[in-house]
Amino acid sequence: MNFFNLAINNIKKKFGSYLIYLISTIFAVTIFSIFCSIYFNPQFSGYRFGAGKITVLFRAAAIAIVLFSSVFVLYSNKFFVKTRKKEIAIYSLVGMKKGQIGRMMFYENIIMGLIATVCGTILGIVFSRFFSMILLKLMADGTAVTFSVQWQAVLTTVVAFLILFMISSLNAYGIIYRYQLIELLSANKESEKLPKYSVMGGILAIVLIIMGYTIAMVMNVNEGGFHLMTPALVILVCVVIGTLLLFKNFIPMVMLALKKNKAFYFKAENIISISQIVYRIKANSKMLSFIAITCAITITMMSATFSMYRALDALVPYYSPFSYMSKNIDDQQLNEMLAVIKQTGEVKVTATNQFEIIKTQLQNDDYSTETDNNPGMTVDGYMMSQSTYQSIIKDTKVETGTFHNIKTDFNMDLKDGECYFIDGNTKKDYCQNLTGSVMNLQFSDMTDGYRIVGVSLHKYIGILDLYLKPTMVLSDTDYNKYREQAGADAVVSFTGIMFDHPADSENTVAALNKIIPENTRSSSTLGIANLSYIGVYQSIFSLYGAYVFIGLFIGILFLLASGSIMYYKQIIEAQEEVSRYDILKKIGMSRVEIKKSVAKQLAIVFGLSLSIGLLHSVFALLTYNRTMDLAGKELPTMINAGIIVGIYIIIYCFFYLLSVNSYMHIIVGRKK
Amino acid sequence: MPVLKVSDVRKVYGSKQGGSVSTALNGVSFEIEKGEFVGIMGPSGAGKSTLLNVIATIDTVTAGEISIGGEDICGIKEPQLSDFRRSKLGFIFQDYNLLDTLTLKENIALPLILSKKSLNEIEETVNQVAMELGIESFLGKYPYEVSGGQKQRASAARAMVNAPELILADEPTGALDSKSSKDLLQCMQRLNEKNQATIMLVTHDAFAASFCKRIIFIKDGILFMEIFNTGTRKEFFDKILKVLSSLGGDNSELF
Repeated sequence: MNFFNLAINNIKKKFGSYLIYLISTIFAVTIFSIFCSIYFNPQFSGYRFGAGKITVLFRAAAIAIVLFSSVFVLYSNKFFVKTRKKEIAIYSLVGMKKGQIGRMMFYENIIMGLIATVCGTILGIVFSRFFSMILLKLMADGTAVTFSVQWQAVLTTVVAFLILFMISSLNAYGIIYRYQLIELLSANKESEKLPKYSVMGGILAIVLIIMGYTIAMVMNVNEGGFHLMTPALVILVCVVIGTLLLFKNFIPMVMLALKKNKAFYFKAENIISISQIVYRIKANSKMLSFIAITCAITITMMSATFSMYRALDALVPYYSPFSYMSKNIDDQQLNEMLAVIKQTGEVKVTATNQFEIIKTQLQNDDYSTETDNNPGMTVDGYMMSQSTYQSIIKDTKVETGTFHNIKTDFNMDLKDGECYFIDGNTKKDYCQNLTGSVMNLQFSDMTDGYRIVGVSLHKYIGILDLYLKPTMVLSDTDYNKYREQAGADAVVSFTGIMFDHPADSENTVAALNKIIPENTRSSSTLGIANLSYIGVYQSIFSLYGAYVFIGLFIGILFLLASGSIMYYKQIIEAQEEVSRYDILKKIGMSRVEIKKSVAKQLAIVFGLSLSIGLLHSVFALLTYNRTMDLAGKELPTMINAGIIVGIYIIIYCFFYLLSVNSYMHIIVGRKK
Repeated sequence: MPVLKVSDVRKVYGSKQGGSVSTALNGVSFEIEKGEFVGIMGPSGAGKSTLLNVIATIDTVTAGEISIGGEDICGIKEPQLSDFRRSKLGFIFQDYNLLDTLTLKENIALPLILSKKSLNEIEETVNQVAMELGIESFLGKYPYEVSGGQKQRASAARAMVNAPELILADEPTGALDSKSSKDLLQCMQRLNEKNQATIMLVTHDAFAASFCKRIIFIKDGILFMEIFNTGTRKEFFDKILKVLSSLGGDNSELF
């Protein structure tokens, strides 16, 4: 019998104990394989959002998944090998050479790796169809998934994991060389000592975490982009180091304090669990912090993408208030358009609005655009008549609200010399103090001052021609005064059409886009010639749908992986605790009492990392919510986060119960 | 009424699986009265460990009856069995069996904690027992911080802290040097004489056995002989050696 056969026999005979390792590695391969299949599916590579392709998003996510899978597989492998130390020692004792044992371990691991790669890749191909469907659904795309095996995806998965399993098998090969025989034999009896912790470290942990939270709560989220990088990095470093120190120093501190409280500690279910935790917590501190941080990342990421996704419907009017909108359309074209809509028969027209605005220049000592931040500057803008604005408000059914991108508080009757100012900026900081001041309107050679009686952030034509450009609403008489002098170049006309069911207007919009020539002068940021509700709807859903998909996908991966890591750790510990529980049984601890004690012990271990992770994510989400609020998007983040947290806790609890069950199985055996 | 009554106990291994059958105990009967210090001796494979295990309720008998404190232990099922073990029995093992995650004091207090005794009672009893065994100054230490003899005395303290009907000691001196052995055995002797503790000591060390008042010898699963300590310990020790050599076979393990 050679060592290859011995390795195969080992796997055959003890398949049960190998199963958990196999399941988790198969799982890692499957996830990666699914992701690759989607990434390489030509159907998805066609999606574009502005300048970026969806695939760019997927590539970034793929890197995260590769890194995480590697950590996960190598970690599982380490545990798997650790459970077999004693067996290796016995082989060595009966005279097997180190090289032979190493080779046997190598074969065993590589066989398992191959099984996992094959099973995982096949499962990945099978499930990728299902996940592609979910992705398309999230992207609000009705097209069916074309199912085909992506050979590129298969190849990538196989190569990536073969390399990974090669590394882990080499690690298994080396174990016999790295340990003394005595260490392998008495792996379970290493005398661990009481944790030494530093009070300074404990205090520092709390200080760092509170500091991180405080910065998150008070940081000025108005300054977008790179200004946020520094505080974000500081928060990250504070919280991560804080968490590590927390588990290393603060928690042992609390546990030892609990030990001193005799009334609490001297109870059957407390003394064993607490002493066990105290005994192990320092060695486990890195893993527990890792789990806590992963938990925080997962919950924050899933909640953020999920709530963003749930709010997308409300976001569409921000980009496209009308169901269909185009620029510089004459009456004949409009009639053609209406005919096409009727012909297609999908939707009915509830309103049409043709209106004009006049290009002009505006100046106010306190006003500036977000990008320039230079108060007093002269900005390009528009003027519009009061009746036009009222008709837009009526047609697009704008809600009443102040300083809001899709709401307005315009309800006044403007007198001559008064104006209502609609800011082109997204945040209220630049216009909120303008009411009462004078806005100077520069038109041809004239400069006229108008007193501002109201301010709004309303994006009345969505993203058409309005980027950072303010609009002055004037009384009809004032407006007509300028209209008479305005040349053809200065006037921009728009045609907005409202449908009864804009979400079902896909074919109608496609037909309309055919007859309306692409208007190069309408420089919409989306790169869409004519702005339509359904167009915006589809493009934001395809982008955010991909976001939410990746968010959920990685979230589930993180959750399952951290759950299995916790599970593994408990199994390993249980194996080391067998003799302890034997003593307890002899002293007369009943099965029920042991179960209570184990349940409590694991509840503390699982609960600690979960609650710290939850605490982190609460603060992360509060900050996230603040950034989102400013963009005028009201996200019910906390409710959605509640749903995510609920699901997370349920799955996490499943791992907890599974661990308690296996733990009991190991220490007291099957119930007779 | 005897504390322990073993009547015609048989233990057969291996019959269920249908493999080869081996008889470990083949009809053993004896009694231990309250306040006795009884040794169980016999060569390896005589059935000592099996006897201890069935009395300790860790294993079940094939036939026969065992009663402790007048209660038939063969009829008790979990979880009452755990309660029974906790309140009626105390154990001292060769390898101490102390939990290394707990201090000596906590280890000793464990049976009381499991019995849900009040904090005051726990403190009082533990201190008193520790005093009797001379380990009161090590109570706050962890098992890895003290010597084997101290560990074994802590183990003895744990065995008797619940004032059990019967203390079962399984080769308690097996891992100790001769000085520690003597200290421990003297402690046990004192407990037996002063506190009327009933002790059953399983050993194959004649020196350890010489501290007993009575010794039961088993061989091949049956009771072989019984001797009583009537004179000094030295005389009893010689007596034991004589019996052991008459037990026949190679007694190399003793000399």
